Amino acid sequence: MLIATRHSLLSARVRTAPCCSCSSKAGDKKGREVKYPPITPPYYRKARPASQGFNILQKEFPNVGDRTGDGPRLHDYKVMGEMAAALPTVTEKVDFVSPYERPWKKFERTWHRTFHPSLVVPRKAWAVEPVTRGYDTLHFYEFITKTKTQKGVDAWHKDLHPPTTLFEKKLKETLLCKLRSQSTATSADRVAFSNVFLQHLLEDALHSVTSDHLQKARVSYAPRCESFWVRGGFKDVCGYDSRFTDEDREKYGRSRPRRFTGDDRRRLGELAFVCRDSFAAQIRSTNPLRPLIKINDEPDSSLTRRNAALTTKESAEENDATEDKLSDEVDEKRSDLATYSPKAMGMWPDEEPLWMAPGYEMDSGEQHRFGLVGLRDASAIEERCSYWGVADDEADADVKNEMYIAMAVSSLFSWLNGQAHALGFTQYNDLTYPLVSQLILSDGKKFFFAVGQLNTLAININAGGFVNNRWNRCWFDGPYDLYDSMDEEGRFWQKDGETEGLNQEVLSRILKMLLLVPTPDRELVDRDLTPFIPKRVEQDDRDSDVFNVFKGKA
Amino acid sequence: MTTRLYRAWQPGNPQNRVFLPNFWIKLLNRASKGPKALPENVLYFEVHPQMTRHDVREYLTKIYELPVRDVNTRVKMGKIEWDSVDTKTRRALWKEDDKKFAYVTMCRGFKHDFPNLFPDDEIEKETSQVERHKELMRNLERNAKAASRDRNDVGTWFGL
Repeated sequence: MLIATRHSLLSARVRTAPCCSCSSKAGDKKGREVKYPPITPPYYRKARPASQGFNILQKEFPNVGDRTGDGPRLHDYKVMGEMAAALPTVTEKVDFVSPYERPWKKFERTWHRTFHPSLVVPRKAWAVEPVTRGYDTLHFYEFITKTKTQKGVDAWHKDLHPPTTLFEKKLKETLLCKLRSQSTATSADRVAFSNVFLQHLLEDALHSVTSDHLQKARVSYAPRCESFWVRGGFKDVCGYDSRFTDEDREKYGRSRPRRFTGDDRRRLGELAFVCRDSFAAQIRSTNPLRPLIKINDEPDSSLTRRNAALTTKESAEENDATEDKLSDEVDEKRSDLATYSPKAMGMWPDEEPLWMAPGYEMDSGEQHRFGLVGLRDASAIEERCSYWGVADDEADADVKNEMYIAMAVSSLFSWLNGQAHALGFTQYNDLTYPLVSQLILSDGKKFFFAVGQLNTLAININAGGFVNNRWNRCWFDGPYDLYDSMDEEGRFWQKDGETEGLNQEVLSRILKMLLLVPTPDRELVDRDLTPFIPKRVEQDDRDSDVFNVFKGKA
Repeated sequence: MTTRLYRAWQPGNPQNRVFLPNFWIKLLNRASKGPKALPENVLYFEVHPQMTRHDVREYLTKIYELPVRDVNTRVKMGKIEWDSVDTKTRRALWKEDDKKFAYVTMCRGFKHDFPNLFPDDEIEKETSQVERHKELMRNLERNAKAASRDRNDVGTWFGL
């Protein structure tokens, strides 16, 4: 590794060359010739633009390779990718790519002297909260996850028409029971209410439909779901390009701007982010959901339909046109560079250890690694909007809806990112096939639906020469009211005041999401789903002590 | 706040005082780029140190009728002057007052450009730039003369 960090960055497996003083040929004690492996020189160049030069020679004849600093960055990225791929287990990979740096110990701080290397402030990650703290921050959430959003999820559930009668009957009973027994006076009560309600809703839905894949699926209640990632493109925001004047030097007591919070110590403008999510429940399966758009580096040619054989030519053309229009709109709004600091968007640094947990622990030997549907509480959105005083005028019309979208974008990206790491992919070894998951957001009354497709994780570098045309996708729909009011007799009414019962659209959508069968794409049938995990080690993981204890074999 | 201390009010007593806070707010120019850059709908103020977020919101909405959505505050500690460099044994001689700053987010589409308070400065700036350029040219001429002092006024086209 080119840049040493304090956590376990180097392992014995990937250490290649001996020290530079060793020669490639030498004699041992008995005089025999010993051959050492070739010496790999360390990479001395800096990964940032070179300074203006200290003398006339440096100024007039600068090294062209040092002009941008992109070369060393790309070299480092490539080497990191090779080393991450060489690591045999998922936990080692996650530990290797994690940007976490532990705080200095008391001993280190006490006995530090001025002639020692300075104690660099440990790197922190910006905490991404699914319920945005900042006002009007959807574009920032889309940037840090490199996601394009699109309205409408019908394309995913086209051929599904589930009956809702039984589900409605069960859900009405659950709803009545919860509304009459559980308090919603405080915000904590509301969160507890919606979490419990969503868990019961899932049970009711599972009891209302019959499907083979749901029988085999894993259901987790209140699972641990968190993930971290690094996003490049913050160089301008960090302010490294501005040169300090003599006045600045005198004012700040240093010759260059301070390292930005969350950035690498080389000042690359690559900030770390972490999302610690709280799902009410998750359903996972052993097979991945089929993606709607195929991974392809050509943005225009990547538009393919999920069931291309089943659709007519006209509808496919219509879909392509919509997609092109969306791409233009999205690209106009944002560029490849961030405009503002995460703090200006209401985020705060998080110094807790970073780890990946997409609903299960990495070393648990879990085989249900692909997300199907996640259910999450969204009651905080209403509270945040009421605190802001969001009115129903034109200026604020979309603020609440965009909070739902931002929540879906961050939650789905975080979950899918964790799933990808559990499958052996990292930000240095990008996905070889897309990952898809569905999400239901609700506060017990309003329901919002989203489907996320993770196409790329290689968003942690923004250097010249590194081209990544892939975008992650998020389709959304809602929010819809499950009911408008409830009378004293326990009957639910719709908004018009005449229709009795629950919203059929919501009920139908929930069942459709559950009934979407996770069948791998045709291209994935004979393909390795974990190309960066050696098969032998994967088997070893299953036979590990932890798994055997869990199974009661040890 | 008033400087005069008044008897503590007890429940049931008449409300015979008017609360007249000496709160103040000062609009500052925000950075347009870099780590401190703010979106267009966010205004940057220095406020009275005892003002809370709620006070700032009330101040701007009730008096100026601005469409305030969110308020964040930050306290910047005043500079301390120490008697020695040694961090373990040093003592404070003087400390400047703390300052409180507020970042106020307005509704979507709100725009505000900080006014140019001292437009005359630009003229002075331009004048000084011309003067600097003249000085630079004089120096260059002097250097050229010094460099060609042994050329006995031979035309410049012979050499560089």
